[in-house]
Amino acid sequence: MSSLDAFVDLKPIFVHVGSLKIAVYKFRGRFYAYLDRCPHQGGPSCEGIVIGHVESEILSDGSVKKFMSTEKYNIACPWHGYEYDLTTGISRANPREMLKSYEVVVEGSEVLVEV
Amino acid sequence: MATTTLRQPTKYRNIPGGLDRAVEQADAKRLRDLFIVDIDCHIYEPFSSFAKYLPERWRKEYSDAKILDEAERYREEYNIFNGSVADTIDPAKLKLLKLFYETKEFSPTRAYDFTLGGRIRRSEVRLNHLSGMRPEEIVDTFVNRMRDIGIKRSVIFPNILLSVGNHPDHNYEVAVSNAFTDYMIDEFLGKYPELLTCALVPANSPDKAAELIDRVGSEKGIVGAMITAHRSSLAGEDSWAPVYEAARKKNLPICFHASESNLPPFDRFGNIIPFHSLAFPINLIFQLTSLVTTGMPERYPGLKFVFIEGGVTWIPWIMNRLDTVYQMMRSEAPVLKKMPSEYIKEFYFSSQPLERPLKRSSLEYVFNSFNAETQLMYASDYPHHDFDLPSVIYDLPFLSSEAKKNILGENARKLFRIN
Repeated sequence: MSSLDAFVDLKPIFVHVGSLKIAVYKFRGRFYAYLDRCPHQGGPSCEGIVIGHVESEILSDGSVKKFMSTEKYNIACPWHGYEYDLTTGISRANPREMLKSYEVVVEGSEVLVEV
Repeated sequence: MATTTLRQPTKYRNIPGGLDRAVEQADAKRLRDLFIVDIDCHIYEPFSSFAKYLPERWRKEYSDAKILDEAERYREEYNIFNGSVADTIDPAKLKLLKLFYETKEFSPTRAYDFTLGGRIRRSEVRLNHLSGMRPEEIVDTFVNRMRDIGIKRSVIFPNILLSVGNHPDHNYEVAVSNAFTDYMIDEFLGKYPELLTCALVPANSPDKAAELIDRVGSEKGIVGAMITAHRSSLAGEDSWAPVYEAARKKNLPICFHASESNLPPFDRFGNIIPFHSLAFPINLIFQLTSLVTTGMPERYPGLKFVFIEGGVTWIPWIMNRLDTVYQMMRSEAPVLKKMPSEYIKEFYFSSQPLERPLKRSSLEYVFNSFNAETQLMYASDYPHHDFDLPSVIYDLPFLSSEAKKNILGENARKLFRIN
């Protein structure tokens, strides 16, 4: 589908297979591919931003420290802001929902998606 | 009068984050075969769009001594508003800009970021309150684009002015309500049958509100009398009588449109989730409860009431709660001839933002509780951040095809007498 060199971490490359539009991401040497369709209302889930996952830590005094991870990233659907784990496609808020994922195979310098 | 031309319609626009997926849904589900009415969508309306309809005192009230100071304060925004740093400072425009900022004090858009840190991107619509939407953008968005996704009629509401009922100067509410309504009539209604609106009614001044309903209530494209729900006065007050009389005379439904506000008690939350979750339905609950418990449906039989942008899951709660308390305290509301819930079942509600409970079947209970098949009307709230496509109704498994057609458009067609 595309050459290895074309990929920049966290920036998707889109491929069309029939009527399907699939986004392929590279992150720290691994590839992830998802259908560009949000399970919420069918929006273009992969056409928005990839953003760090906001986490929290409960401190010793009971207060909460919020911070944005530099290790975990989310795909944010541009229609309503639903966030999906970049590495699994699973919704961060509701693990029962997820983006449809595809296997990515690297053959030499070619990156292929199994549909 | 300015002319507004339609952009060449194009179904797919390949704009990242745009509405192409919605167009695909309309193709796949044949939504364009239905008569879909969107009873709530929004434009962005800076004062410059309707300034010429404002009375002189709102356009010209300003002293020379203040101008330069004020201009400095609003320099960055004034450039956007005016278009050029080099232009001579126009006191009237500066006054409008000041009015805009005064209004924003009562609007939540200053307090919270509804793009959620950039996660939400409305690529097809400009979301700048200050520069707003030009008439041709409004026509393109709400005629062409909505037609692409299956919507045949759009009832348009303002954006910043949703909080107008909170402004302490009631003359201000009268002035902008008249001006905005006149702007909509002149620029859009009548010219575009797809575009409808409600007269924006200054309910804090009931006599002036009645005058406005009387003046514009028969204009083509005016389908209701809109009252912003978040205000200190309540719909059950006797002083609102002129509003109800005028609306009944013109056969216009009263449409309460919810909004958020950073006024108490909602300012207590430092987080957008409780703020957004509570403010909309609670504003509507206040007005609905006041209407029912003061017996307004008995006092103004035939007058219809619509509650917009609160979602639906609160409806059975307030029905049950009022019925329970009424049975204990009936003597406090002797004007009621039946249970509160029976009045509520005759009200109308917009669907958006349709809730997504984890147990999806609970929505069926909610729909049945208030006769959604005849009383619910689809709304998108486009382009706001929590907009709903027609598929949120179309895809509900427990609705018959007749019920879907009713909710998506036939209920609105009947209520608002849409051709």
